[in-house]
Order: sequence, then C-alpha cells, then structure tokens
Amino acid sequence: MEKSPGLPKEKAGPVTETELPPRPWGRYELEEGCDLRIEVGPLALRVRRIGTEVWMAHVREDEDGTLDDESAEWTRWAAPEGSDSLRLSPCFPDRTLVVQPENPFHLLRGARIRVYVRVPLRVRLELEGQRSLVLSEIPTVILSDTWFGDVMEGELSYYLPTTARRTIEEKHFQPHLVACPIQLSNVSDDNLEVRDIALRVAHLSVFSQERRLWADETRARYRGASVGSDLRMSGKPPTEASDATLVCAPAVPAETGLRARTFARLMGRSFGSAS
Amino acid sequence: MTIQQSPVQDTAAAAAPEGSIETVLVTEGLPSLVRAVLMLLFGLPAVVLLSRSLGRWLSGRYSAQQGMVARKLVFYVGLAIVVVSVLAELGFSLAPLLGAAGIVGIALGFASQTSVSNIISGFFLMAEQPFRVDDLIQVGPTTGRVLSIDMMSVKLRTLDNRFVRIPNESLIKTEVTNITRFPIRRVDLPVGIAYKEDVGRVREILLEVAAANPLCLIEPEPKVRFQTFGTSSIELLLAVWTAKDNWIELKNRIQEEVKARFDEEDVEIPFPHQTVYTGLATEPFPIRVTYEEGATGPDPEIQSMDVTPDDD
Repeated sequence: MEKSPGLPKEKAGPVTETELPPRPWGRYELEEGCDLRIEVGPLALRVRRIGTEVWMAHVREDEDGTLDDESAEWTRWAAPEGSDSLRLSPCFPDRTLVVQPENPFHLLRGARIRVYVRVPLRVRLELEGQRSLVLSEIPTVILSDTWFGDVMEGELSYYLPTTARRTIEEKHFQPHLVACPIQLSNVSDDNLEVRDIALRVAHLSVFSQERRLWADETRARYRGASVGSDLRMSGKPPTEASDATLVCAPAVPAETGLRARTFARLMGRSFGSAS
Repeated sequence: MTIQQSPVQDTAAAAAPEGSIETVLVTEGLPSLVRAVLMLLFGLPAVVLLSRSLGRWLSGRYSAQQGMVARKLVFYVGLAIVVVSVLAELGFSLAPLLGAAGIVGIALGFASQTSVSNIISGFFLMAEQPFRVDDLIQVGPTTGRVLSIDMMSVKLRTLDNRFVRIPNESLIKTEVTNITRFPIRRVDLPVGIAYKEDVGRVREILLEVAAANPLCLIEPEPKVRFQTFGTSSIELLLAVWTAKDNWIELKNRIQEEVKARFDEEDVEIPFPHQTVYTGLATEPFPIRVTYEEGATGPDPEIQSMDVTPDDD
C-alpha cells in the first residue's frame, strides 16, 4: 500500500510531540508526588506518581454534567526506572462503528452526498522513558454495543447516532471528537435508503489542525444489495484541512480495493415466540 | 559348477533343534535379526513422527479433533505394520495367529458392539460438527462446555465445574442444543406488572432501560411483547440481544436495572394474590368487628358489633 506523505518513518505508535494536537493531548511530566487532573471532553483523568508507581483513575460526566472524582477506581502500574512522562494521544475505538443518522435518508441512484460524522475518541496513555509503554486506552464516551449483520453472522460493533450533518463548523469541534467526512455514492441501479453506515475506523487516521481533529475521508460506493460496497480511505488529511498533521496512524492499514458491507439491513430479524 | 554349503553352517544347523532361537540365528542368520531390530529402531520413531506431523497439520487446517483422530489412526496402523514386518522378518508365521484371531474376533465383535458404535458415532460427529471444542451445549439435563471430542466420547465441564463424559452413541441419538453456536443471543425477561399500570408507559420504561445498558445491542432492537393477562398481573416480555459472551452478565444486570427503574417510577410488580369480590351480583359480606380486652372502640361497653356495607 502506498504510504501517505504524513506517515512517520517508524512503525505506527509513539509520535513526536510536535505531531500531537494541543492540550488536553500531549506530554505531561510525571514528577514524584504529582497529582494531575486532565479533562478530555466528558472524561476526567487523575494521574499520580508515587515512587516508581503510576496511579490512574478516570470518571465521566454524570447526567447533571458533574465529574465526581470520589467515585473513581484507581489502577496502578509499577513502572520501570526512567519513566518520567505521560503522553496522551487520541485514537479511534477498537470496533467498527454503526453510524445511524437521526433522520434516515434516501440516496437515489447516481447520487452522491458528503456527510460529517463526529466520532468520540479514545485516550491512549503511554508512559515515556527508555521505551514507550502503553498503559491503557480509555473511551471518552461509552458507546453501546450493536450488531452489524444478521442473527447468524456479523460483527460486534459500536452504535453511534449522528445528525449526519452536511456542513461542519468551528463550534462542532471538541477535544474528544474527531470529524469524519464520508462521501457516499450510489452507483447501483437501485435507490438506497441509508439507515445505518458501518464506519470502519480501524482503517482511519487522525489528523490535527490547530484544535480541530479530522479523520481522512471515507469513500463508500454502493454497488447493490447483493454486493459489498467499495470502500476507500484516502490516508491523507481531508480537503477541508489539507494542512493538518498526522497524530495517529490507522490501526489496520486499509488495503486498496477494500470491499466490505457498509450498508446493511438486518436480514431475518424476527422477534419470534419466547415460549 | 558345484556349490558347496559351508561345513560350519551345516554342522550347526544339523546340531540345533528346529524352531529354536539357535536355528533362527543360524539358518536365517544374524542379518535377519539385525534387520528386525533396525525396523523397530527406525520404524517406531518414523511412525510417531509421521502421526504427529499429520495431526498437527490437520489440526491447523481443519480442527483439533480431526487432527487428533488422524494422529491416532496413523500411529496405530503404522505400529501394526511395523510389528507385522518385524515378526515376518524374524520368521514367525502369522497364519495361525490370524486363524485364532478370526474366532476371537467374532467373540470380541459381540462384546465390543457399543465401543464400535461409539467410534463410528464419533466419526459422524466430527463430520457433521454440530458443536466444537469450547462450545456450550445442552444434552438432556446436562449443560456444559465441550472440553474434547474423542473417538469414544465427548467430555464436558459443567458450569459448576463437574466433569461429564457422554458416549458418542448417545449424542448421535439425542437432541443436542448448541447454546453458543451463533455470535449473539437473546435474553428473554418476563416482567409482571399490576393491572392498574399503564402498559404503554411501562413499555417505554423497559425500552429506555434496555437502551441505557451498553451490553444490550441496539440492533437487533429490543422488543416488549404483551404476553397475557395473568391471574395476578399483566405479563410482559422484554427481549434484548447481546453478544453471547455477555449473556449472563446482561441477564443479571438488566433485571436489577428494571427493578430499580420501576421503583423510581412507582410501577408495581404485584405478588401473586387473589381478590375476593363482593358487589352488585352478590350478597354483601357480613363483617364482625371485635375489640380486644382493654381496647377502646366507639363505645367502651360494646365488645363487638356486626357491620354490613349498608351501615354508616
């Protein structure tokens, strides 16, 4: 696969600080006795350094919008000597996202549309020192499980409701959200009712443009109900942010000619009798 | 041209009794014994190596149990070939043995019907693959995880950690339920509510509880079904789907969440009860009110009184 120009030469993983988005992301010094509190959207992290141990707890916003630190549960790691700093970097969730527009729409044959979906990121915590060690990846938002497929086969995914906006403005950007442009086109002979879109985030990169986080563009071509859709991830910053820098490479590099189920209805779905 | 036998050999052969080790060694020669030993030394390891290699290859390509069966088959067949070859090399005739084996075989055949049936059933199980190792299956009253699928039987570990051996023949003849065959499962929760409750409101509450639980799949979507008018309550059914590994956890958590939400919303889950009715179609029930000694009622001198529904 051809590498995009923004990829670092080393294998995807730790990147230099200049490639990380601004606070709350980035590097934090872990001095002895330090007690950090870092908020990333609705997620609050507490990090402490006690001797060679690193303690970490996290809480999320309650329904009333408060972060109750007292309810946090602590996790501890015994770190190797010389682990002096903590890096927070954004990454995508670990499963495919089933994106459901609040208002399903029809994509007529021959039509194309560009929508923007904001995906809640996960926070990757890495301990830096002689070598980089990943401590944990914490979702900023807990997404509900869902199933993409039918009752006999499919893939476990996360559910993400979206407005599938046609434009995106400055006010829509938040530290814990990444804007994913999706170009949909219908090259089949049928009209397509778009109710669910499987967004394969494992193949997406995260780019940073000042305080805005962008994913590379996903192009999905619907070729018919019996054939998988053609998927292509550009691997480059989207046109809306052409000067953005790479902060997280894809977990799984996308192969050219990726074909996968992207639009699917649950076949054979029935309630049945419980008796 | 005349060929003369070695006088030493002639002498030794003439002296030793027929069929003895000495005869064998002398008439057949040491090479024969050496060949037999070499066959053993090279044959056995070759058979073991071949059987293990084949078993590993098949396990990787197909399934662990198929690899195991192939390994054992190759090993025992190879072992038999090596043993027969060694015996033949040593000059032992197998004809009498086979003759005797025929009679013994008939006797063994009758005795081993069940074992042979289990082995053959095992082959069918492996071909059909109604379940695999680590599946959770139910056979009659027994539910457990499949530990191994062997030639004669299937071994299970029950959920309370007991070891169960089920003959293959039984499995072929019995209904077997593979609980974890498909990746997602449905959790069915019967919910009884009082007759006075608004069914529509309760339905919304149940669906909200399901939507709020991250283990509960959004698709297939949760459903609430009106089952029946029960003797003590209206019977509803909340059906939610989850990944098979989360089934038990979801079943426990969602019932607690339903109860907690019902308490918040003041939705009654009635106990089984019976209502005794008296109304227009029946005579009023006579009621007697009795005061305990020392207790005061409307009139201290009245210890009891009869009250009917018409009284004030």
